[in-house]
Amino acid sequence: MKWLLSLLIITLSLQANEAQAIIKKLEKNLRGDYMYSTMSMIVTSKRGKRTVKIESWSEGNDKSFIKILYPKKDKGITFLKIDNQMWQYIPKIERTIKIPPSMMLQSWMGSDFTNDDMVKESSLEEDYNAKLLSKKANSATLELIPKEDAAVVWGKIIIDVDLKNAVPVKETFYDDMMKKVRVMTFSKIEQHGSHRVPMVMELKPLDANKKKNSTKVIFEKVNFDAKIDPSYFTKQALKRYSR
Amino acid sequence: MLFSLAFRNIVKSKGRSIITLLLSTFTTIFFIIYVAFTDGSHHQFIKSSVEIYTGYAHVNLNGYRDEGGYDNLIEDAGSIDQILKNDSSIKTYSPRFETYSLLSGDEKAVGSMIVGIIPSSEASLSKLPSSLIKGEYLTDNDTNAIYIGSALAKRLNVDIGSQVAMVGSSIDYSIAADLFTIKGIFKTGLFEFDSQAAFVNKSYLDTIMLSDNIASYFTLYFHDNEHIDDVTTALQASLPSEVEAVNWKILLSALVQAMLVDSIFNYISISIFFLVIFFVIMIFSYVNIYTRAREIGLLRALGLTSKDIFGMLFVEILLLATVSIVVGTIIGASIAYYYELHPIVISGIAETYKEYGVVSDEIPMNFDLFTIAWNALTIFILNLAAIIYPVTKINKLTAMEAMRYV
Amino acid sequence: MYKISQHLAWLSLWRRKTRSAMVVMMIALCLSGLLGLQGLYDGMISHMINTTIRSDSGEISLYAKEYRLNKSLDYRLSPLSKFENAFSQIEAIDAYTVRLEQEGLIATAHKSRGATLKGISLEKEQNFGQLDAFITKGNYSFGKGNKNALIGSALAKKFNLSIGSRVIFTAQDVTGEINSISFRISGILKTGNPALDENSVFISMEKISKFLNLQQSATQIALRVKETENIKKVQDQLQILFPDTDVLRWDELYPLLIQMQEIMNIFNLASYAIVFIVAALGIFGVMLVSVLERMREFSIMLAIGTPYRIVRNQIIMEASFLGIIGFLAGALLGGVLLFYMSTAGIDMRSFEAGLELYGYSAVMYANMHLYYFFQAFFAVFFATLLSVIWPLRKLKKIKPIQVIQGKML
Repeated sequence: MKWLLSLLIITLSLQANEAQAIIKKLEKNLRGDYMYSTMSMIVTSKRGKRTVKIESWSEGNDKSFIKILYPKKDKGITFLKIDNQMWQYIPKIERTIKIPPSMMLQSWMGSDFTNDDMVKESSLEEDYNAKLLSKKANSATLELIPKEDAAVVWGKIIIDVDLKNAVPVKETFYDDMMKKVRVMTFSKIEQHGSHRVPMVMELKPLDANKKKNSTKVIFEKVNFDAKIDPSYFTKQALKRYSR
Repeated sequence: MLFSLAFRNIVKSKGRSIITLLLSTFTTIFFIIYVAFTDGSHHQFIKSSVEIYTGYAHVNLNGYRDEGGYDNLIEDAGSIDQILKNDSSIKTYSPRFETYSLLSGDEKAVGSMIVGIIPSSEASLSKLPSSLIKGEYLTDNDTNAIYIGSALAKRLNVDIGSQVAMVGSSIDYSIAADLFTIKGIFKTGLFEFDSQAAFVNKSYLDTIMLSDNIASYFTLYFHDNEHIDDVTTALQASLPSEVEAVNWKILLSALVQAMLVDSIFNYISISIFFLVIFFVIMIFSYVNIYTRAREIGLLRALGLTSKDIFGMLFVEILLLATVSIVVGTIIGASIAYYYELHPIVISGIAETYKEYGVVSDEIPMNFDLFTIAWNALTIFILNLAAIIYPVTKINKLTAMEAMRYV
Repeated sequence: MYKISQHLAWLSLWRRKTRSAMVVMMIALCLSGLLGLQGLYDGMISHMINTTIRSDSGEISLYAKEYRLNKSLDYRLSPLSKFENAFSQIEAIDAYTVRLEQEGLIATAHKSRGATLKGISLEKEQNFGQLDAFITKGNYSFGKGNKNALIGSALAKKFNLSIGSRVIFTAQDVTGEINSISFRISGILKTGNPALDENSVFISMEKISKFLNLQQSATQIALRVKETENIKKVQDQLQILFPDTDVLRWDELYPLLIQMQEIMNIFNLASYAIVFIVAALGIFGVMLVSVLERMREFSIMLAIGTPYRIVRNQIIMEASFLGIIGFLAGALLGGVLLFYMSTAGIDMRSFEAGLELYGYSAVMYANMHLYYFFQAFFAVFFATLLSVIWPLRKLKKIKPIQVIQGKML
């Protein structure tokens, strides 16, 4: 009896550890130490379709710098994120503003991502405890429950993982009552340097009156291997790299 | 004959008649003024709350009030404008475009409600222009001028002539940003409003927000705001199906309930007053009639029936009541009319009740002929009802018993 | 001597049952109606004042100067120890509570809204104003490890939260950096104070201090000084000790409450004036008529040698009986009414939205105080005395023989 119990415990903890390991691998693969990319974001809503072209530099999980390339009206707008703080520079009025807490949950650039999402993009390992729900040869399903102190709004996230490529295939976000709120799908896996990344990400909210909405991100260029100049992650960068 | 008897009685006992007259007249005047005052204060309350910004009615797309955002805007404001222009029940109207954006003086950014308005129309629709405390109000030709709430100006640390950056999102969700110069600062007295709202000329805001021919809603001022439910329903009939007309009773529903509670308390108080007056008049009639017991007994002995006595006394009170009502109504109505035009000023009331939306120290009385008429009628009936008991009592006595009275 | 008058008085009243009953009923109805209204208004206002003192300001509150105009963490009270030491020296202070608050954004996966996060000590608040009594769901606790939160009922309703629900709060700390914090709801509070119910989330002082990066600080310190005479004294004492701090009494912070009390006092005085008039007039009318009715009878009594004062006393007693019975009936009816309203309360829940907008609770309770009845008694008593003056004058002028002969009118 005791032997069965210990076996169970060991298996479970192994599973938890295994799940945690999978997440770690995922994040390392997706993020890397440095990442440079250009992408198109297509936002579909009741008002139609809008395409935004973006250039992005990031260091680890904590620092990122984003520049809008297209459309012309928004060209040159830059965003800086350091830890939990976010700043925005608008060349038309030559002003830098800091996003206040009251705007953190407003949509970013009209997409289904919020400012908060942009700030907390990748903290799955830090903020969640992972559990293995099922595992097959090349795929696994994990359940992520937020850690006690983690400041995230989700009740849980279910991730379908492609184990061979160490990339997520589908992420389903649930609210605190365990009701589905949104789904993110990943596709078109490509190899870039030492990383395999999904080049297409699509976020779909499940709210009844947001049925037509979706935000699709298509990566064009991705580079993990070049070190990025730390000057990108300063407030001066906002104006300097705007042009 | 009864009539002449009654008349003679009234004239003969001047003291009693005068007291009765005074009592009824006073009651009539008091009742009329009380109702005029409480109605007036309610009207003022409503007017203040409604006219500060909201307006008497809105025309918006179905679903706008629940959802907000850019999904339920009136996309063809021009056609709605035409309908409203041709509607004879509407005195003034104006489109508004509301959006939540960031305003920042230096680096500190504050989330605010920015509204594109037509400055000239707003002047006759809301208290915005008259709430100006510094600088100037907007004109229809203004471009980067912004008209900002006093508490908001303080939060942003800006003053007349300062520049603020506005960053928000246009209709197509691209970034809308511009620099504005503070042209005027307003203070409505409603802290929540003064600390969050700022206004810009709509035609200029449209160029930034890409909201040309688009409005969040239209705000309306009817000719007949008193019968707001009727006019709103009538208007709804001429609007397209996806657009709704809602009046302030729905927009400011908590206010409606508060008014109702206040009314209830007022009615309870006035009912108690009536009870008192009823008894006072009754007692007085009682005394009146019993002190004439001897005389009445004499009349009975002379051959008048109890019915005649009843009739005579009734005519007496009828005459007195009519005179007092008429006099009381004229005096009461004049007072109500005067104070409607020259409202009572209780200084300090605005300061104390400002968080409830009361922004003026004035309380005008409400002069309404219909209300005054039924007020007078009520007192009249009260007078008549009050004498029933004493008169029936006295008729129960026989002539002999009555004559024994001193 | 009095016995005869008393006996006669009582009999006279019974002879004219209906008339006496009418006067008694008149006094009783007016009295009970006014008692009821007075109790209700009194109850409503003292409820409001009580709620404000218990859940917010206490009798005295301390704030850093500037804080009330600009709620920034730059204006805070620190270090707490210097205040706490001063409090321990002043005996009149019955309890105090320390609060650290910051405005920010509360969010769930579906919604976000502005709210205020307040750091408190559960124990101190309970001691201070029995905050635990306001719990409607869940427990008065911050859960294991003091990590959970209590939330205002209206706020919980807006976000559809129940016990165990999780929310995120985002705000700037003292350095201006934006931080987020999460907690589960362990209890829902309904204080009747709209500022709290619609806007506030309570967490432990330790948790908020860490979140805001502050030590030993507060934005508000509230004190209970239960003896009214001591309030001003304590205020002055503290103001001298802490000249750079705002030390304010509840009526200075919320002058509206005092105004409402004053209006109510005026209303009460007016009510008693009305009761007085009604009682006086009623008894006057009835007494005058009954005296005039019995002129012949009194004349006979006087003619056979009854001392004047017996007749006079009889009349006074008749009036007094009417007054006393009227008062007792009114007091009884009014008492029952007040008792009902003070225990079961008046249910105005259908007007909840409008009432709560103005800080009234939807179920209203009346106050019941002995002094209501004493005031009423005096009103009726004096009315009675006043009312017999005229009838007695009429009586004095009697010339017995002429009345008996039927010549006096």
